[in-house]
Amino acid sequence: MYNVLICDDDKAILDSIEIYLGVEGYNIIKAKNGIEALDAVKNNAIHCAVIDIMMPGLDGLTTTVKIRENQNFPIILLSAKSEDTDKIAGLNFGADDYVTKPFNPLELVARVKSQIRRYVNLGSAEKSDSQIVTGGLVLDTSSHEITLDGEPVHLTAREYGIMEYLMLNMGRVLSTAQIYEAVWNEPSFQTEKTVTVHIRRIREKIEINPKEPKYLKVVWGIGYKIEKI
Amino acid sequence: MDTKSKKFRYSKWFKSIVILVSLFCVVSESVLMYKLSSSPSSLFSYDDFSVNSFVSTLSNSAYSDDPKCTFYQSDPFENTVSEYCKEIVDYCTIYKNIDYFKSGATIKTLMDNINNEYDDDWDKKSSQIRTTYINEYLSSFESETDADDSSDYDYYYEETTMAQSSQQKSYYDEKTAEQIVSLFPDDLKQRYEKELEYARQSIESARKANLENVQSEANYNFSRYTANLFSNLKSMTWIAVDKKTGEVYTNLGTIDKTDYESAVTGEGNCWYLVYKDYDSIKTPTIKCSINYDALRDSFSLYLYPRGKNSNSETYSLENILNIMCRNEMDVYLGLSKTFVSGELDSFKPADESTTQIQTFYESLQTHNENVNTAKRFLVETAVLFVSWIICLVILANAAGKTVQNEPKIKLCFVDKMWNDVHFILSLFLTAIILSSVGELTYSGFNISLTIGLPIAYLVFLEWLISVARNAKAHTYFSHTAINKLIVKPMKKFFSYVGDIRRLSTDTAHISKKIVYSVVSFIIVNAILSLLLSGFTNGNGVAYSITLFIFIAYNAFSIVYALKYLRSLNAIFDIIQKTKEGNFDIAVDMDAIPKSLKPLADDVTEMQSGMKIAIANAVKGERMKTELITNVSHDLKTPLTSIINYVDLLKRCELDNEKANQYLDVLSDKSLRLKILIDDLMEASKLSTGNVKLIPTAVNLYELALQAIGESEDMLEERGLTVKFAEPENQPIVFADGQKTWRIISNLIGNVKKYALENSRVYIDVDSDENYGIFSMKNISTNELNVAPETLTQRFVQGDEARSTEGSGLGLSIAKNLCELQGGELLIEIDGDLFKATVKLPLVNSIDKTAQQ
Repeated sequence: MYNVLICDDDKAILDSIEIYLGVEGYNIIKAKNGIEALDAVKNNAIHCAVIDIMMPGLDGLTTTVKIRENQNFPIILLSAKSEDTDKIAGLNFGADDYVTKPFNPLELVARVKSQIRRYVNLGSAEKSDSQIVTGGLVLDTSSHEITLDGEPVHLTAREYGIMEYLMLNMGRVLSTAQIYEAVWNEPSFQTEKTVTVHIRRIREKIEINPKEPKYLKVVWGIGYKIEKI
Repeated sequence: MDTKSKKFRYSKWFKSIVILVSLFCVVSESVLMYKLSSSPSSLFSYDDFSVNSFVSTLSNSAYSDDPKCTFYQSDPFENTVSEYCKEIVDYCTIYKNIDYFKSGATIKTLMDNINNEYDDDWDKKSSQIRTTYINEYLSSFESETDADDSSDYDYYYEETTMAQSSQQKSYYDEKTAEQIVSLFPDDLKQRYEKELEYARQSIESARKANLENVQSEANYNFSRYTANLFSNLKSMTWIAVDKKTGEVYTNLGTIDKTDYESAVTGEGNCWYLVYKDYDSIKTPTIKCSINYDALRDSFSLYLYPRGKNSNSETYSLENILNIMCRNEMDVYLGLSKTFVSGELDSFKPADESTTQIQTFYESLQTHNENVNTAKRFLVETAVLFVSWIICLVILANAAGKTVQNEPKIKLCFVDKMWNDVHFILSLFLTAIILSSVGELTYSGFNISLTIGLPIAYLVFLEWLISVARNAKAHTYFSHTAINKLIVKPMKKFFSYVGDIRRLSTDTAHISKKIVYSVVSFIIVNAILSLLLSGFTNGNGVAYSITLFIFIAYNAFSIVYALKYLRSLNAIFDIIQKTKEGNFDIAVDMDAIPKSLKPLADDVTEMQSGMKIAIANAVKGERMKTELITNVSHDLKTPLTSIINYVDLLKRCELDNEKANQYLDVLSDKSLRLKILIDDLMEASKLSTGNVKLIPTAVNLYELALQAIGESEDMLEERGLTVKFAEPENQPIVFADGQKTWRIISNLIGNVKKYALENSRVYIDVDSDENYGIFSMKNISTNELNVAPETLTQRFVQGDEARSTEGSGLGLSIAKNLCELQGGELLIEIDGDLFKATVKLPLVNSIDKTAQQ
């Protein structure tokens, strides 16, 4: 039984999240503002927190900073702000994920699940030389397997090839032509379109929200890269 | 007025022709004038070119001493006429006073008679003159009575016999004379017959007396004079009217009222009034008609004064006639219509011997010629003058105008000259040309007229046209030396003075003070210098004291000025720094002279004002951003709940079928609301410029590939096939990749929503000189009856029944993003073909412009 802290000043949202997460079997601790959240953190062993940024009193970002002073559990920020700068700021303050309102409740549940799985399994999984890791994503070059938060992801051979090429060049932006030539092992000629289609499908498999990818990112007009987390 | 005529009127060759015509007019006129002024005939003197009044003037002048009339004496016609009139009047006077002459009465009696006759209206002066004449005459007569000149005796005798023989010749005239006499009134007839009888007897007795009485000197002279007179008078028709008595004398055989009236009123061409003032005799009494031949005979016998001296005789006769007031008559001359109508050449005098009339007609011919010349001259002058004026008007009208820049006036280079200088220069030049050429003639070729005048005239014309141009451009008075050198500087000076006087605000006080300081400095120095020069030779002590004051004053002034300048500099420095954005440097109030304090205060105020303004601007900007964020938050928070609870409600597995349908609608609409809010936020951010762009080099081809990869499945759901060909080169544009994706994804979203199902979508990537081009073509499901431009406006959707999908902001956002990145979004609609083109600047072109 994992404890999930939910913090939002809107009671309706609070209740709805409680229902969704409750169905998944989590123990829900609710807080109406940052101060209540900090109290809850003091009094309970929290495995994951979902915190709204815009709150009266202590806001979400400050709460995150305060929690991070002595706690390490994953924090998912919830905000009406959708700007990239807001996300970056949130992540810099120590948050692990970011969901913008209005959110898909199932997506939120998925993210919470993902975060808890990683948090709980972190350190227990052994990292071998053949493994390339970023966040919850692990690629094993020897077994040609990819796991996400400990669960295997089923990829086709081409998809795995692409992932391997990208993971090996983690953080580097690779153009479709480069990817094609590396994976298909033949010169690219009007065939890169297939690469992009494959990448979208990979994203659908490894990303919780493919439109806002966490690992496999699109650098528009340049190429793709795997984000080092 | 149409352009064609303007073009014609403003053309150079037309102007040249007009100038030439005007030049011709001026020269011709001058030539005419010159000819007239150098011709001997005094044409200009003819009054109204009427022979009538002309002759009238002449006859007056003949007997009066009016000095103005002497001018006419040179004209042969005038001479003839005046002579003729004189004779007529003489004759009439003699006739009128025939009793006197016949009676042989003394001068004394004559005087008495006249005095009696004219007693009433004869003014005293003329009576005095007459008395003087008579007295003179009497005295000369008396003194010369004894003088006996017998040496001329033979001569007199000869003449008398001659007269007698001529008298014989005219015997046949006696019959005519008698016929005429028969017309006389009875008393006159009797008298005449009596006189005739008496004359015959006298002739007889004279013969008998054998020259003792008859052949006296006086008699001879008088008879010779009258004989001449009568022979002259015979050849003309005339009427003489005594103004005093209204008696009419004429040599017409008969005279009736028509003759007289036509003469008096001037009807018909044949009568000319020779003497004036005929109004006084409206109803004349016709006294007689005279047969002069007959009269001559009697006169030659009886009419003579009793004198012996030949010189005094003529004189005496003149005197007598003067006394008899021969001036008191109007004389009308009867001229044949032939002469008047100017057909003089065809006229041949019937009688060769009548030389007088021949002379008369000849002189009249000359006169008529002169009159014609004068008339022609007048017409010519008028025509030339009028055409000259017309030329000038045309030139003035066309001056400075051109068809191209009508109605603006084009000033030429001459007009740069100040107008008054131009005027004086032209005047001077004209004067120099005219005076230097002067009256030069070279072998009959008049240089002044043919060369000097045209040049002078052209100079004048140039000036005149310049005046016209300036007047039309309204620059005549403003563009003068007087205005530029005197009036304007004066105005400026007075405005400066006025400005200084008006300065009264605190800050302006400073400039006032500076002006006063400088002026007082100059004045004090001038006074001190004067004093110094005054003391040079005199008081040594006073000199040194003044010198000391002079040096001290100047030193003080310089130090004060430097201090003042330093403070001023400090203030200027602070202003400069304020301009650069540093508002925190305050003016050091203690170090500043009192007079500069207001300025320093102003600077300080300005600083604080600017601080507040900038703070407000920053605050406003922040508020704007916050507003958007807050609105977004306030909208999104309830929407989150709606979406969540709708989803939860769905999970409740309601039994009611309808409720489930409703829930689906709610779910759809709430999701759409989410998109709408996002787009709305984005659009408002774009329109407020609240967007941060991070432009990098972006491969448009790569982007197109990614976009297709992202959306191909989505498009295929609707049966749309994407056709994309690799371009020859891959355009690298300078743009924000994320925003560019947004543009393209909006376009693709559009395609997805509006493209005809199971059709093809064409995507092309290309480039031109400066832009990378991404374009999409598809066939629209609905009819596109909207202008392409309106599609990119906010909340406009292609179909009138607004689609359930989309916010209507997609194209607007795409367009804004394109423009923000220095590119453009073009929408083309061709029937059902919808084409969107994104143009973004190439990296190369950005580099190029950056280098430039």
